[in-house]
Amino acid sequence: MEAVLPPGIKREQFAALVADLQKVVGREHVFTDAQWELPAYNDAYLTTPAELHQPSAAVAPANVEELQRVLEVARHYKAPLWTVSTGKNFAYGGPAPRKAGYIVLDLKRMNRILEVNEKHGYAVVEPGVSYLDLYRHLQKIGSKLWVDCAAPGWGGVLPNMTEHGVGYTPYGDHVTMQCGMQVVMADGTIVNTGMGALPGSQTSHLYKYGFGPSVDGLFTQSNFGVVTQIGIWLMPEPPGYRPYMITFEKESDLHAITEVLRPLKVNMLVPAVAMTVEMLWEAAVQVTRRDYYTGKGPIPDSVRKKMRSDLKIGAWNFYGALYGPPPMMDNTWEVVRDAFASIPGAKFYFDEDRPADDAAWQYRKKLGAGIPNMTEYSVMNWIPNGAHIDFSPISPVTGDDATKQYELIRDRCNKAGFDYCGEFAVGWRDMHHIFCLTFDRYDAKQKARANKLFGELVDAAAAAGYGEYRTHIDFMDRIAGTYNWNDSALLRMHEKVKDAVDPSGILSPGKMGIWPKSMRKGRA
Amino acid sequence: MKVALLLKSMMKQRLLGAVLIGGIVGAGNTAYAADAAAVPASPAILAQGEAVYQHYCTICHERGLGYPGTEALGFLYGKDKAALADRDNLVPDFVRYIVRNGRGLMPGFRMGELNNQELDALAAYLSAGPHPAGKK
Repeated sequence: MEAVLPPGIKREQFAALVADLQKVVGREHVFTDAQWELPAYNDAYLTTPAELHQPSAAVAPANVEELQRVLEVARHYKAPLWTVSTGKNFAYGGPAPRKAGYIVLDLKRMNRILEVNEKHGYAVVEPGVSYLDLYRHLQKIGSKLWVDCAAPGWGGVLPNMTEHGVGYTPYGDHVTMQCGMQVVMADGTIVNTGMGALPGSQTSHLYKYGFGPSVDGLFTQSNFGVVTQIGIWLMPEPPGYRPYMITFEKESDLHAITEVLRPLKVNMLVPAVAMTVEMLWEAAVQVTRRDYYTGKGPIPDSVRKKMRSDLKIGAWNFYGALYGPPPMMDNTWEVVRDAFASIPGAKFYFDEDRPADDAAWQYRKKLGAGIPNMTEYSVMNWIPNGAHIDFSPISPVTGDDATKQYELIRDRCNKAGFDYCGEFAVGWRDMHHIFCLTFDRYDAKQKARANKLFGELVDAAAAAGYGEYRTHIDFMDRIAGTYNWNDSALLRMHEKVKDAVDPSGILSPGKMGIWPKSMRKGRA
Repeated sequence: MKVALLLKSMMKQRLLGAVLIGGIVGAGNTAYAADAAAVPASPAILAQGEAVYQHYCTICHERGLGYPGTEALGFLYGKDKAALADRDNLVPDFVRYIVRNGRGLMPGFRMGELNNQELDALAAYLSAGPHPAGKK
């Protein structure tokens, strides 16, 4: 890969910029070598040419003071920074910047766990703390608090929350569980949000909303500041944990499953972020496509049937868990079981009912108890050199909508020659429909097909009234463009905020379609 | 698979650049020479390498079920050589290259999360394998 320069910055200026960054963080924490140091700052799972996202450099401050000075350098040169924390946001771009030439602001070295409060059940972490780091720390100190982790356990507590990620325990809505935030603004000002704005505050991580406007959300999925700390509520270990799985025989059962589930969710009888998972997701973490089918195009239904039989999984597989004292779990289970038993062919499983070598069950069981692992990455082993980008529209919890979304994606997916692999993460009143679009990362034609399919899905979903909750860097503008009600009033407001809080336009230009004034096209 | 064959295979996939074959990895501020004929690593380096391995690698490459890296390597080399700790044919340059550039489903690891000194220790540890379970 050839070295590139930041947009609008000449070679001599870039050399001076790098020298200034080195003075701030040390030579060993500024990276400019395109051959050795920067490949890992690109996205391993791109469907577009890597040149489009090649950074010019990366800089890794160790603390807030260094970060403030990095921002000062960036303001001086008007150099665009692209903020990453643990940098594991794969399927959505990983650590790669939105455009070539940006300097990646790598916060991984800011990895302190600042507080674990056993009494009130929270932790305060910096951006570089992974789920695995926090889990290991809690184990080490003998804490009885649980982590709620994303499926890839190397993900970050703070950045997953700022990207609106979800986990799998009752604390799975990570934005809801965040309380208290520290942000460094583009001008270097440090802001404590909420109760933390009160000097000596006793409740920074106990009450979310503070006094006056609650601004924490402005710093999620945004480029308005650099989030350097958050408080995150942690679930106390319950007296009992009993994960369960329910399998369903027919593809069309998705409708009934979703209808049965809605009242269980809104009444909190299924307290965790529950999962309705299509069979291929469960199969792909255990077997490969070539084990079953070597033809071209999507695998036939007959093959899917054979896999279901071999792996003892359903066309759809529902994962939930009971939490609490055993009598409570027993009572809740009766309600849940009876509700789902109304669907013909439903089969019910607890831990003792699943095979010991069932990798899918084993990792779902861990996730429901907040134990970080990486098993879900095996989905990519479905094909050789597998990589993926995720298409993630939000759906109401209704059978009609679930079926409509599933068919909308499945049919286009099949037509494009890919296997549908998807799941619904079911919250209180919504479902994140995650379509894991898996392709061979070394096959340029396949990548181009995947990219084209993804774009078609964005448009088709929007036309049906469905929007995505998160996306890959290559599709941020396209999806932001679908949220265009009232002449794109929301995006215009975002741009006004951007121009006010980051007039130099140095922070993550283009993140979620929000560009600074100097880089906007077609809008004043 | 012999290391030479493996490197050849990866060249075909355009995974390995000429820099590696040429024997020099990296340039600029953090350049250092590849050490195909390096002296055996000290116990302290190996201990650090093992710590890095445990911290970063085992979550995907441990022996057993549910580790995506182990599963992927099992397809390539067979189940008895699927776990990194069981490999007896790793060399430092190869380890360094894969860690920085990734392979298949594995993305590369950034300088900001794993520095060159830690990577060298990891490469030394894995190249001193196999490391039987339960033994240092």
